[in-house]
Amino acid sequence: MPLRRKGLLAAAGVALLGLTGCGSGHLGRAETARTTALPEVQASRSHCGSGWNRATAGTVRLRVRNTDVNAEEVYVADGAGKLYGELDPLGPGTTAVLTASLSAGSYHLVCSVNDGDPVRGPAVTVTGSATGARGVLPVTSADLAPRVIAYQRQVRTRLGVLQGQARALTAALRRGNRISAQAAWRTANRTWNTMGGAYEAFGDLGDAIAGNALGLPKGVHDRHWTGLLRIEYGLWHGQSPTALRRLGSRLEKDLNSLDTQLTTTQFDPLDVVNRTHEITEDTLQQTLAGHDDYGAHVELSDSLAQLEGTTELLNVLHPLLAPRYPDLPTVTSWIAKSRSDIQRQRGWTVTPPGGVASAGHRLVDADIAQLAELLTPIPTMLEPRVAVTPRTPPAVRPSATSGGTHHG
Amino acid sequence: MADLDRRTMLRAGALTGGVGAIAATSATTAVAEPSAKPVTSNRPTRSTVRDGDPSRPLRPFHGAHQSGILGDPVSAATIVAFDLTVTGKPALTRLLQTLTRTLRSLAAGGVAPSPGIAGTAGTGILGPNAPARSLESVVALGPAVFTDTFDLAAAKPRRLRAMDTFPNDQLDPAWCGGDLLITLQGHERDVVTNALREVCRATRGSMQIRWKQDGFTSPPRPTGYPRNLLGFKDGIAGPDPANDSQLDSLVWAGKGEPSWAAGGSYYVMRRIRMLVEFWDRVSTSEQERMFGRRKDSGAPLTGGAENTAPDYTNDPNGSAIPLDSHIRLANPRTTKTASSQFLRRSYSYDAGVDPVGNLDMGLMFGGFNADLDRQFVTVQRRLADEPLVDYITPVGGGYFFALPGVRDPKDFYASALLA
Repeated sequence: MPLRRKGLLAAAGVALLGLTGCGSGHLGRAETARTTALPEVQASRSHCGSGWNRATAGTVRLRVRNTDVNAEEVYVADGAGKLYGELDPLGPGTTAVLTASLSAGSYHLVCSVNDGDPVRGPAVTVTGSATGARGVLPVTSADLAPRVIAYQRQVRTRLGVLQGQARALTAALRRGNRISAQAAWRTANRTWNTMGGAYEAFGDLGDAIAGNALGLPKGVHDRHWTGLLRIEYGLWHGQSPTALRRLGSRLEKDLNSLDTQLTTTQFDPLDVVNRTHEITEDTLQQTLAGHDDYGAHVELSDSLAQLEGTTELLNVLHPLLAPRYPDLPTVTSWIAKSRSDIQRQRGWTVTPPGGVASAGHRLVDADIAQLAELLTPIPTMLEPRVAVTPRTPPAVRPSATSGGTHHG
Repeated sequence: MADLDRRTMLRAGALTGGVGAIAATSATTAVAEPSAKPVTSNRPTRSTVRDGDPSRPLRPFHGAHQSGILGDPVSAATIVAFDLTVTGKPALTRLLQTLTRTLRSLAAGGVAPSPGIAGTAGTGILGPNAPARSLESVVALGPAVFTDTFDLAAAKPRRLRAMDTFPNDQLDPAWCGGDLLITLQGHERDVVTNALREVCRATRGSMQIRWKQDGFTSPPRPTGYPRNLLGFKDGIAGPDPANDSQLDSLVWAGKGEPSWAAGGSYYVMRRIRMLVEFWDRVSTSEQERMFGRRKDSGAPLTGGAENTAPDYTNDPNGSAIPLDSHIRLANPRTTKTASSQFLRRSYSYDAGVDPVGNLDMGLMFGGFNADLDRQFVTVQRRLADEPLVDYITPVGGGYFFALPGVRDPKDFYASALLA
């Protein structure tokens, strides 16, 4: 199972550019030369935004220096509180370039020093005709909490269903009937795949429940390999169903433990918003690539279940997402297209190494890859942030910004 | 033919026991020797005095022809065939518009616009300020695009079809065909890598990579045209990119083609493996007889320097340049064969190891033709069973049509086709 690659999240966030066609023009040489000698802008509780006085619409680059004694997050925001660029984190005494793409309007810096209330810098008027990027209204932990609780409730409901299906699987194994055990396995495996278990979402328990044999010293022969994929391997490689009964019981036990965990521990909101794209990344990297196929060849049904998991999560997050992500309807229609293309596949096979993917495989791969691109901005948009600025801009700037006297 | 027989047996013994008849292609050196007029003099003609310098300046994105066609091969390239996952003319149009925007912007370089907090501005491979005019590209369409799927059956370039299988080919379907071929080339590998990633990212749901081969051009050793992986200077002869009348007759599609195709070119791509271990066990003089050139200087075996035209009139029996040598078969330099020359734009490749431990390396042979059959196919037939075929094996490729250039900032690829 791949580990959560947090560092890659931002790097994956590029898709929107190409898709919406707004990334067409790089700036010319003259433009870039102009930005080489950037003025230094201070970012501290007492001098937030000092040194930033004006800007021309388009790409704006600020050399921001944290003159505070603590690390901080620095944002460029507009009067409505929408964010256009960020430095997260910016250590004390360090300098970094903050890049934002701004349309004409009024903006300010926000300095959110750790353990302190965020401070707004003076308003800066941006003039010019270039069109900037879309601002994103930040989401707070308080905004997310009810959504996360609702999602966790849904996952628990699914888990209850899966626990029953696991009992049915163990019963079928005990009876020694391979065909009915395989059918019971398919049912349970499908439910598991709707639960968003991607990227170690359920930690070690997730591995025990549905980990693959990669990374185990003895691979498929490793005694420590347990869970749905281990049972799949046995059922589709001639192992006696009754001999697999032990693994069925172990699966039941691990699902019970997960149930306890979900009762006592709340999902990390950041993990939940990350899952909006992680499930789909896994569909491409693991499921469609065939890495998790131990004989049942259920790539397509797994993929459909994973799409269902993503859809449920997006539905839960919809109130936060709809006002922030104009391409959300495209996501919905792309999920529908993916589902329909998957359902039309016949005679699906995993592409062998060095072989040619079938036309159907390429179509499904392209669907899921495009969906991953479309989902990419969502985690960053919904990432819980400190409430950096009031929704309605105050008439006067917060106190303790004496630096503002030098700047207008 | 005693030589050929001996080599065939050698090869059968040394390799898998298969017959030695791999073969024939205009592969390596070959094909289009000099100007459209047959050259009989020993003196270098103006049109052949070019040095194939891979560090030449790159061409601009906009123009009547695509930027990556005329210039000599540069240091780094990637050649990627895609299969389309869209159907219908409107979706194809959107795809080609996206491709145009992406490649135009990549060629321009500079600072990518910030996407805001929910994204990142480009791959970052080229740093925050990408070099300007560091990329050339060729976008070409395969035969399956010109079908009812895209409502374009009537607009097909008349010669375009799935690649022919020639007698000495050993084609692997995984390395053949594709609906859309993109060649990206520049002086630095990172520029090419960045461009491919941006192209894929922008077109994710519309096409999938079918096959991809990175290629390179070696620096001149010591001077003149770069050498291929058989150690011979390659690309010496061919139409002069500065001679418009040659280009009009040998490179740009025109007469008999649909009007939208003007300024485009039939783009042949062949993945030709070189059996380099076997080759390195052959004597220099035998290698030279197979090519018809000196290995050290690139000069034809009739004398002179690399830019000197071979003298066949004084060598009618092939005692200097064997009649079955590569350059002589590819371009006999007669009035009759002058019109079969085409523009070779090939890259070396180096791609790993085969099942018996031999290196998989060779040539991504690229050729631009005004008329596929009159040029590439004709030359290929002349080369069938040449002695060199025991050492080179075409394993993949396809026929494509390189689109006319994007003329200005408002134009896009195939705008006349899709209008």
